Amino acid sequence: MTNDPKQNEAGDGKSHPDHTHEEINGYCATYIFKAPRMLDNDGVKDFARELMKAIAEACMRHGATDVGHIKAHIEYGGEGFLYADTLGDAADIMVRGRDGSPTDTIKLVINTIIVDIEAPQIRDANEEGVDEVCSRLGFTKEILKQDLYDADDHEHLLQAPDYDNL
Amino acid sequence: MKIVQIAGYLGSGKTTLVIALGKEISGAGYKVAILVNEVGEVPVDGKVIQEFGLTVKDIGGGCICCQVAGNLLHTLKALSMGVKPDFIIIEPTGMAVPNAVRDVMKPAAGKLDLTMGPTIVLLDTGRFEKLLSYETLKRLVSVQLKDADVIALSKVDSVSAEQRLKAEAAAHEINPAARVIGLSTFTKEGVPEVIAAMKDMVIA
Repeated sequence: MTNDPKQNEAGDGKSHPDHTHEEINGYCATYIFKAPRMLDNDGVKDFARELMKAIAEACMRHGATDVGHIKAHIEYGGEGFLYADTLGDAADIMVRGRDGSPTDTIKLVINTIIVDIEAPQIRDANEEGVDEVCSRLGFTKEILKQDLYDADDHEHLLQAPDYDNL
Repeated sequence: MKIVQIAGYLGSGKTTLVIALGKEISGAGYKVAILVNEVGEVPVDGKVIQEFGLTVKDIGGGCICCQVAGNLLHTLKALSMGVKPDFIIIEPTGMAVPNAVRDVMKPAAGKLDLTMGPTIVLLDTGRFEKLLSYETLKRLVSVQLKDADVIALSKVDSVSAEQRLKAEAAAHEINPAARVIGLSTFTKEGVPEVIAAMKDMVIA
């Protein structure tokens, strides 16, 4: 296989249509939230809905054309988990999962992909939304991990993978 | 080992379909492995799929059609030497170009004893008009649909018959060669047809 950086992975020398998603960027993060009181399942679900709504609204304020998706995986109260997501104009927020025990601690992983705003703005909008909800509901947040996704990094014109050593 | 790709734009219902397919196929006695590629280093979909007891390999840190193409091949190699599933279901990111993902795998098919199954691309019947109206997204959604062997019109339970017909017409217009299936993971409409396509279709 060639090492020519103008070759694509298949080594056929064609350029992949990278231009298709140049305006789609993202941010993902893992948080630990502490609630001011013990929450039951409905309380955790309400918190998740509030977060998704606030983040979506903040992204639109920052100039987003479309919410590609905002999705979250939430662990709480032993075996409890929730999957929350929204897309488009964020009018509908889906939250479903498995019930857990009452808790004041929530681990939440969120992935926010937005059209037409840059990754740092998505991060800022995400954190604005999170901070607004935490402030209003009396939660504290700790960020364990975060990562920005910039479509400019989505580079199709790379050297081919090493098929010879498979 | 047969590879099936479940592709489509963000929010089209890929993860929900992958869970439904994984449960149905493994319930019928087949071994299934699911490869999930997500944007960024912090996976969500893989965690959710795992909650349903399915075997999942997360490939993060970039797109499997470019930045982490090598990781995809190494994961396929590990599966071929270990679990040897009957089906490998690949869920790329909502921004991936399906044929670019296929291009990465094709040269490895012979070495790893892989059969290339269909690329199934989901189109959200409730959102397709809006997506195709954005210049930014129109190209991506159209390219994804053009790469499909099967177009699954998702969420048909939540739209009118008229809207469904419009989506079907748009899908046919963009890719006249693809098989078009109405899909609802809620009512299960179309799930047997998708499974039949997974089993029957082999792509040269």
